[in-house]
Amino acid sequence: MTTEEFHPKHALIRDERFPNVWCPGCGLGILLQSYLNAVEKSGIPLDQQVLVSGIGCTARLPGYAKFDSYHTTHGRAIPFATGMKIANPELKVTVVSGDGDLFNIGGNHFIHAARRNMDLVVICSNNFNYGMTGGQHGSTTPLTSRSASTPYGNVEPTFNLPYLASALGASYVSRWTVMHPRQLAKSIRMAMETKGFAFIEVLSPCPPNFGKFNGFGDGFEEMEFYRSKSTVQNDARLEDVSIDPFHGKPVVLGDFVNRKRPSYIMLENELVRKAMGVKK
Amino acid sequence: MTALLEPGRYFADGNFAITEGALVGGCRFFAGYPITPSSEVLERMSERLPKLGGHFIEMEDEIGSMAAIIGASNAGAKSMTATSGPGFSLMQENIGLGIITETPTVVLDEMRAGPSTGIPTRVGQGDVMQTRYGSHGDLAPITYAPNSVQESFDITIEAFNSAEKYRQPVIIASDQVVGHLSEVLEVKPLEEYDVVQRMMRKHDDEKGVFSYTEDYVPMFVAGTGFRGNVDSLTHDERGYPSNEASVEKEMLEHLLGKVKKNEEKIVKYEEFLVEDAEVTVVAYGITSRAAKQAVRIARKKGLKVGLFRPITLWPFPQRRIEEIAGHTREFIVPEINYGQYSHPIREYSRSETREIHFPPGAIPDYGVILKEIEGAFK
Amino acid sequence: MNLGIRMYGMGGQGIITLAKLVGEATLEDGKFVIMTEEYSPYITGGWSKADLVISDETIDYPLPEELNYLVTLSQEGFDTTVKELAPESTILTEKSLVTVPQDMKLRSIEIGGIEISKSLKNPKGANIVLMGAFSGLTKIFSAESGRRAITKRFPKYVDANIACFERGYEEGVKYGR
Repeated sequence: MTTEEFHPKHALIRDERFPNVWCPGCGLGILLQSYLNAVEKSGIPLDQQVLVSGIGCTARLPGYAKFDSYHTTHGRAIPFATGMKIANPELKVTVVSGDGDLFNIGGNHFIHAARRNMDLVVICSNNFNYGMTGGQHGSTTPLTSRSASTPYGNVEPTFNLPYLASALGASYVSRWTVMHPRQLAKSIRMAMETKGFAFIEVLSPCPPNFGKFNGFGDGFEEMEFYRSKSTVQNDARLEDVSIDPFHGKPVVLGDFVNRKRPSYIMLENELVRKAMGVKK
Repeated sequence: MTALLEPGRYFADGNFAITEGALVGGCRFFAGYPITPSSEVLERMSERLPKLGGHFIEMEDEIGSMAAIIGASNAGAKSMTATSGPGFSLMQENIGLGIITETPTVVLDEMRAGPSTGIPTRVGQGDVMQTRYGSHGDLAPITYAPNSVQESFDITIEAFNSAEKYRQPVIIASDQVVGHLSEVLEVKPLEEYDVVQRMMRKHDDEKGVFSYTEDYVPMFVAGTGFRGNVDSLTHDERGYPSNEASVEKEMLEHLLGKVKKNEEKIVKYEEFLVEDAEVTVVAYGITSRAAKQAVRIARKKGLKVGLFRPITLWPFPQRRIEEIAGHTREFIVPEINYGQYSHPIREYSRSETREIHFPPGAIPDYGVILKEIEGAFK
Repeated sequence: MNLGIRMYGMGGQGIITLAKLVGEATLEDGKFVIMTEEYSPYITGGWSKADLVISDETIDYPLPEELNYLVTLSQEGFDTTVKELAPESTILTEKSLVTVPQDMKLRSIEIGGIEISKSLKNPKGANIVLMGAFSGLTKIFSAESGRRAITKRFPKYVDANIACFERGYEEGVKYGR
């Protein structure tokens, strides 16, 4: 079997690195595929595409894509990507990392990048727990659900990520699940076209951890559960879209925010030109 | 476009000198977080960099600052941050990232009294071992300790050069006094400064992202078509992560070896009357200026004492210390801490080593050093 | 020659600027000079001080061996430093802010810097008046170098500050020896 036969996206992946580290039934392969579809459709030169990640299962994704890729430290993908983007605004920098990485240890960086309307695409694969370290709970673990560190059920309220990103002023905000690969790919492409901060939350199963702790037989069953609870509502009131599927609440999906706001790079570029004495 | 500093004589402080030295050294990206006593570097960068077409960002903390300068360097910009003890502690995690990803960048740690918040406005030298061992895992850091405004300028240019040559974060461990004292700064015409330009990999280079058989290969920069992977995990020459102990060995020995093998080129020191010294004082940063005064007076009293001043704290000037130990019977190490650099001096000199502990908070009294020198001759 | 000078004042009076200008002017004259500065921990309203060492030779140790001059814009500066001064020292004070005791043994000169700067419509220039007076009095740096240092530091406010400097200089010269 030649490599071309091995994978239809041969030109966009490091096929010598497969098989990947992800578990059977994990959603990250679908996220990778959606990202690659978005890249192809975006028309942005491949050499300008950069992937940056922190630490965790999702953070291994850039290593499988054949672009300039940076696997950094836990929680620090966003500030690393910020430095890259400012130093070379020609780059299309996408941060892809997990919920724990981006919102627990890296929460401070997320809020500041969104507030700055930094020109980054940030994709958060949310599997409701720390997968790589064995399924401990975090700030996205739904109330009452079980994890390796909430054996009696979780008592902490969760972050409502789209609401948070929107409140901070992000130019683009959406949420999909890995059971919506086409919508997801389109959403990533829209994020790539956005000037400013673009945030996408992707719900994804974690069969050996969150799934197992909460009674799902396999990854597909968990994915199907989110899909069945989901409803697409682009104009949803973001205040109301927190995730609580175990108490009958629908999982609201959609392209929630798409607005024009001056981005950091636009404003900084203007500042530099002015300081240099370049006339418009 | 406003140019770099005009040649000439300036009455300037250390923070000014470091900022302007960095710009001459090619710094075009600065990310930082305000902290006494290094804030003037951040402020001056915010004014100067945009005029040079460079970029400045004030980050949410020092963790983000360190991450941002490594990111910027990987996008092709020579980069820098400036901090002091508390911020330097926060930077340790990503200093390690810079080491393992072989990313050139420069970190100024302007030492103040500690531990913790300590006395922000007052001097200390308590971060010396942190610049050596602060980040986890094995490291071969390069740390400079300037003792004057002139040296703050010159050494910052050199720090940028070393960062490029050895592809790693380079630390400038200055101190609050050197950062804030004003004295003469002589700036030569620009062309007289040796500035190492960033070497970039060609995108069709057959080799991997890294090389463990060569001390130096040019770095690949994002957006140039190389499409490589840079990883904080232990990785092979292709840049791909590995769980193999054999790969860890290969990578780590390369990371440590590239500094170790070039130690003679990196190490810098200054000596004052060391040749015939029976007793040698070893001092760095602001303390070295008190030590020099003490040595000068002691010599007038007929005492055969000299001063060895490491300009690079790390790599440790091992060969020279061993040589000096051949004719000097005793070392005296005054520091504004409770004994840090005295340890490698004792270890490598295998000689009697007296420590002088100046409590952080004040410029050392040279009289105390003089007294210790006299004691060594009794 | 190895002179120690202390400049002392309250935050906002421009005492550090004064010290830097004196340092810069002295450097212009080809002498060696080093200056260290220190502040109280209060954000505003606290004391600030600068010590200068001026010498014909390279200076290693940044602190003065002894203090030969005190320039102060605050009573606190006078009270705390007077006992540290060497015999034969000279004190220059801002008249409206510092009261020098009657039995003062050291030579002490009072300059109305605030009044003069106000009369010259440069109310922030009291420190520059004292700088001029210090130059006229001690000749540690020449008037020419003083003017050049001011021009370098305040390119937008050269005239107003030079005027303060020169009036101060005239005052200082009166007491010069």
